[in-house]
Amino acid sequence: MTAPIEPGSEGIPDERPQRRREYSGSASTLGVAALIALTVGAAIWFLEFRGDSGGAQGERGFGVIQLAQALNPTGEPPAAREGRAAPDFRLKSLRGDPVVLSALRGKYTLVNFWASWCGPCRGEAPDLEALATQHAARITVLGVNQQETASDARSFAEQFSISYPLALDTTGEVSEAYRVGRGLPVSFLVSPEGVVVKTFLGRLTAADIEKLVAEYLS
Amino acid sequence: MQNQSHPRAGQGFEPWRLVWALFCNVKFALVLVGSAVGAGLIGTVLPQVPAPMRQNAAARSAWIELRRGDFGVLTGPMDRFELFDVFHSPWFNGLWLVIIAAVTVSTVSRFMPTWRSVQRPQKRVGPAYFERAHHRASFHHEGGGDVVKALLGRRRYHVEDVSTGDETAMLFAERYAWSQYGTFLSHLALLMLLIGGLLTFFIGFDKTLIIAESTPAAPVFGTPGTGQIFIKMNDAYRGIDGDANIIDYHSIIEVRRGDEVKTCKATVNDPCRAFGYKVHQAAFFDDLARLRVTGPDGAVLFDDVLDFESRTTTVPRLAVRAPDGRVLFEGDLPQMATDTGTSPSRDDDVALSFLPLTVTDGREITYSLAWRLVEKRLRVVLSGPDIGDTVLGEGGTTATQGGLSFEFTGASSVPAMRINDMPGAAPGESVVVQMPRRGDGTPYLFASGLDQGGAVGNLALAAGEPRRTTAGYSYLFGGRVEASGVSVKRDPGDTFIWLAVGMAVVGLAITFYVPRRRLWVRIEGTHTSFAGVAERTTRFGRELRFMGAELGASDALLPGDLNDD
Repeated sequence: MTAPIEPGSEGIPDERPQRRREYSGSASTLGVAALIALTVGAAIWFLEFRGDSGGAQGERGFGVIQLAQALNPTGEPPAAREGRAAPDFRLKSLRGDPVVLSALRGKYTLVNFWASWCGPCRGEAPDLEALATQHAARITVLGVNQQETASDARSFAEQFSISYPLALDTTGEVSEAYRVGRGLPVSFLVSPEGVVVKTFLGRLTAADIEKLVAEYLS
Repeated sequence: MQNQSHPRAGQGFEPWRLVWALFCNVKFALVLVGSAVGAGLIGTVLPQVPAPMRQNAAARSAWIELRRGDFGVLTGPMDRFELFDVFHSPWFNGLWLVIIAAVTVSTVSRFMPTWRSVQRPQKRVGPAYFERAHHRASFHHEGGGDVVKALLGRRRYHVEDVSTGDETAMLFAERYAWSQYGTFLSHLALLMLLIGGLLTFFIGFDKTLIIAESTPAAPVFGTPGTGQIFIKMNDAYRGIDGDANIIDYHSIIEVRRGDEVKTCKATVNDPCRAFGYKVHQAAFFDDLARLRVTGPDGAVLFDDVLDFESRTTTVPRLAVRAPDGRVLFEGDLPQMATDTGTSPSRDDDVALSFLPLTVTDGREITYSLAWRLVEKRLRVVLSGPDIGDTVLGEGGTTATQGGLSFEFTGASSVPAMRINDMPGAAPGESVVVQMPRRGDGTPYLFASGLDQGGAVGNLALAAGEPRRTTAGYSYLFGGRVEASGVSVKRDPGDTFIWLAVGMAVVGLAITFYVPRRRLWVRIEGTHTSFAGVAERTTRFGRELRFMGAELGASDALLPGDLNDD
């Protein structure tokens, strides 16, 4: 039986060097580990997320805009919440001309967020059209399309013979400001002074609209 | 396993060195892995908060309250330790970060010793090593160093003469020195696997959407934003061969982000790649119908795709022929009414339908058919003024007195659904819509429960032909619509995982199957000593003795070396 061999002894080789770990200082051991982590992170970014900077590009001057202090009757920052001034926005209409929410003041505005893929939006469109045409003197229905193309929105308008203005939120910025997720439709009733007075989550039924008319427009 | 400090490492208290030592400590590694396994078991055995409830405090709280029935007073503490949401808890994520850090540091720390061993091996060893090495041999032969060199060369050793000039010849020989990187590669694979798994877990995306043809593009993400992606189904396709076997599924889709659009084909195995996501074909549906309803004033009341969602009803498929062979009716016979029978469980319900036919002399005779499933077979009874009640056997033909022949060609499963708020429904009625097929396979819609001027009526709708009820509502069947289920995926970890699997296979194969050898030879006159290193074999010494025998040494072999084992 021979005595075990100690590596590092005079003339004795290390028989399992690949099993050995070596600390050569914080920079060269832990630093290299950190460098590897950074390199891997950079590789992940390069391979997977490099192209993520694309997507819908907003046009300068469109999207959510600053509401002038004089136009804010609540004295509090605008928010998509009942009792607060409705966040102002400028969006392009289907014809390409700008639609500004604050410019619609003087009568009630029903800001309706919709998309053509949304079934309930299709269900409520005829009722909204009836509201817009029958009570045009007292309310404006403004449809805000969430991130669809103008042609999709136009097809929808033609399909349901919509005459009320439709605006295109191409970047989703206005939808985000109004905290509208994918749970469309969502509608906000804005008073003639620009204050959110009622929020409707989901499809507006004929009964909801009758109630709205009785409560605010009669 | 051994840890060592490089001589340059400083003296005294070195916190980073302690961290390094901890990360390279095998016991610590076992504790980490054991903790991860334990946490995984807890997360598997204990009920976990469903994903949709995680972000909703009220829903989560309600769900936790339900768990009190099972866990009683332990529910609160278990919730505080996030045992009901293990895989999303900070401690679980922290544990994996520590594991990754430890594996990274440990792997990095292996590299330099391995590299040095391959590139700058110790080529000379002291005389004691030839006496004490695990694998060694000693024998006498006359050949000298050149013969030994030649032998090692034949055995694919790289041989180097490291003699110092005295009478003792020293050789250093190596075979497959590079295979020492195998262990390093295996550890690197483990690191890659961990990174890949975490990437998949944290930033992977997987969602299935069902998108029908002719419908607007569907959004992929739950929230709007500049990165939102829309998918439009241009063509959901199912290929069928002459024997009705399905031979292909694919979808031609349009993927849009912002103004950028990519049109491509997605199959189950070959996804459409767009904007960093893969879109796979996942399912196919053909039980959808486009329907447009306009009111008496012409306003569009409904214009959408009806999704039957695999709901069906079983109806008989009939062929009725006149005596001269003309086909008077062929196809699925839609159900028009139900006789609910007397059983409260409604297991004696009988489906009813009516079939008005114009016979040869111009008279119109309405036949009625009733059917129900009996022991999984459709039992159909035909009634008419000239035939009485006749049971139709599947595949059989029954003739009436007027010479009409009724053939029940088989049972057919047709898409069917009840719609409670269909515009134009009869007061108090819900509308039942079916999509049967004609004899040539053309689908049509059959709606029952409609308001036909105060009476409950039916309407058969051929594709593209609008029909108006007496109540003034107009219905247009836009045709059958096909849809595909598509799976939208992004898995940043998959590249790492595949790479890791490859590296692990190669690393382990090298480690276990490449016969690495490192050999020192000392030749003093006729006395030759071998001492070597060979992993994963205990018989390298025997191999060395056989080499001695091959050199002609009579004293090389030991008793038992020639045994077969």
